[in-house]
Amino acid sequence: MKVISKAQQAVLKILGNPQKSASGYRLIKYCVQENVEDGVLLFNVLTREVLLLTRDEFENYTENKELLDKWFLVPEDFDEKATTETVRWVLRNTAEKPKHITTYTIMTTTDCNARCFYCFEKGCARIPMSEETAHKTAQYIKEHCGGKRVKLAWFGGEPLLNMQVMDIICEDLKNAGIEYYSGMTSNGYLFCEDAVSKAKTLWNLKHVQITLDGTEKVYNRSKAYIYKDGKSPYQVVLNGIELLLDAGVQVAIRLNLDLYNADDLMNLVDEIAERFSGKKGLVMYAHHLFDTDLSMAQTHTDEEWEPRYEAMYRLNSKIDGYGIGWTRGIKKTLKLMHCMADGGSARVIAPKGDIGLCEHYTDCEFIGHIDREDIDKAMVESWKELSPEIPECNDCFYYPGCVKLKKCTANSTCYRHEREANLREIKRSMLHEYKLWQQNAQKADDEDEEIC
Amino acid sequence: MKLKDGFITREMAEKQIMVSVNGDFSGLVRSNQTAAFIVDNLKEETTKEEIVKKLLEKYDAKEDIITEDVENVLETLRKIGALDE
Ligand code: SF4
Ligand code: SF4
Repeated sequence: MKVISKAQQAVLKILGNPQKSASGYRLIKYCVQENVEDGVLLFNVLTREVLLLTRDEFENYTENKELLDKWFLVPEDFDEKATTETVRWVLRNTAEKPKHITTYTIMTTTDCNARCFYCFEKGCARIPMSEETAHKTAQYIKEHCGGKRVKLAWFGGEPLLNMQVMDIICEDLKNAGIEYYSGMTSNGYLFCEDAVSKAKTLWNLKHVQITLDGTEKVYNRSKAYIYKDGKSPYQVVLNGIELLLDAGVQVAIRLNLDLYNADDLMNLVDEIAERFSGKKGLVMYAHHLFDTDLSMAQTHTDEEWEPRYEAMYRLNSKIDGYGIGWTRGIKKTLKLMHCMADGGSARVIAPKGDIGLCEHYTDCEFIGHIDREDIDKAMVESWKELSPEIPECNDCFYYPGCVKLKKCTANSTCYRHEREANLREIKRSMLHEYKLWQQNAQKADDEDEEIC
Repeated sequence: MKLKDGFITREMAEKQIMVSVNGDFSGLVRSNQTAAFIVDNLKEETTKEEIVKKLLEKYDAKEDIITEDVENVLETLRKIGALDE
């Protein structure tokens, strides 16, 4: 047996010694298996450990004392859900609460230069942040970051439509000696040479997420940009992506997948992979396009999700084939928070200076204002409320890693395809860890040879 | 004497787990049934003698053994700063 990725020690400490059983042992419900060439990978979603067993070891797993010590084997009558609750309870109560706010999502404007039919700001007022609010925002950050390095996430609307306030905030932070770096969610249209140069020198931009809805014709139709200068918006955005990549800024291209565009997106993946072949810092991933007023589960029935998920898997495997998929390893610690909304160290600052916790609310759900120190504690607490469990949670392999917020419009409910997608994602991460482990083992072998 | 505010408990698999929520103690105390009973009693203002008396009512054991058990548990709690005395 080999350890591919180590367990979270704090979880093992809470679990204590394995329990004795007169009635025998079984694999914990939270164990995910994946076959690889030299055996079977096992991942314990609760302890976060990944093991590699030979086939022989796997066939006789109930006799393996090490698996018992590592909580892969549990007594037949073990209550993993209650145990998980206790582990979470201990971790939550002993975790150090964030003392400072170090992540700021800044909505430079709710206006946009595109008119996508699905945009969640459709119908919302188009408000730019004023220069005065930008200065106050920088001051607010200075007063609440505890002198720590801060992450700025530029968001909109289209954040680049109001670059002036980005400049002001960064200049003010720089003058105040506050270290910062930034990321951005943008349609990419305004990334000209000047903007990219500023992104490097002033905004300290590390990564940008840009959405593409299809190949040139489809994209140009669906985005409906406001500019009537005869340029192809698709080409403008691709040029912007190229400038960013050349400047060393990571670009994550999100492919918005709806009911009808899967084939076109498959072509788009080929086009993008070809155009940016050999460039570092590009990742792509497919994302279901859905109405943010509804949760994912509410938008379709299970049967309707089937083809959409199949299309997503096809797209992602094509992306992986080009080596530009978004591969994440196993998260080393148990998930206790859902996102910025319940994490305690992030704030959203809307164009008029209102402070929120979720970037998907531009005109309500605020907890305060940059002009005031008081915070609506009841509103803060309401963002920590969890979605009710469903009967499937009792036997779900994903339970220890599952945190769903009642108020999250993107992910508050659960449906079969989501669980299957979670399983695939976990297996992908296991394989990623396994590859890293193999590479390290190979490196160690090479070093040995050199010493000889 | 009383268990300090900020020390909280929860049951897991016939054991009691106690942690400190305000960072007074960074570890975790795992108690068997008797120790858990003592800790539970300490959630209200009490004395060593009162706890011994309650344990004698609950368990069929000699007073000197029970007193020793209580003293051991109190000593452990004292060491981690969990007691207000
Ligand atoms: S909500 Fe869904 S994914 Fe989460 S534990 Fe329950 S069944 Fe599993
Ligand atoms: S939409 Fe959901 S995941 Fe996104 S910030 Fe809001 S609560 Fe978090």
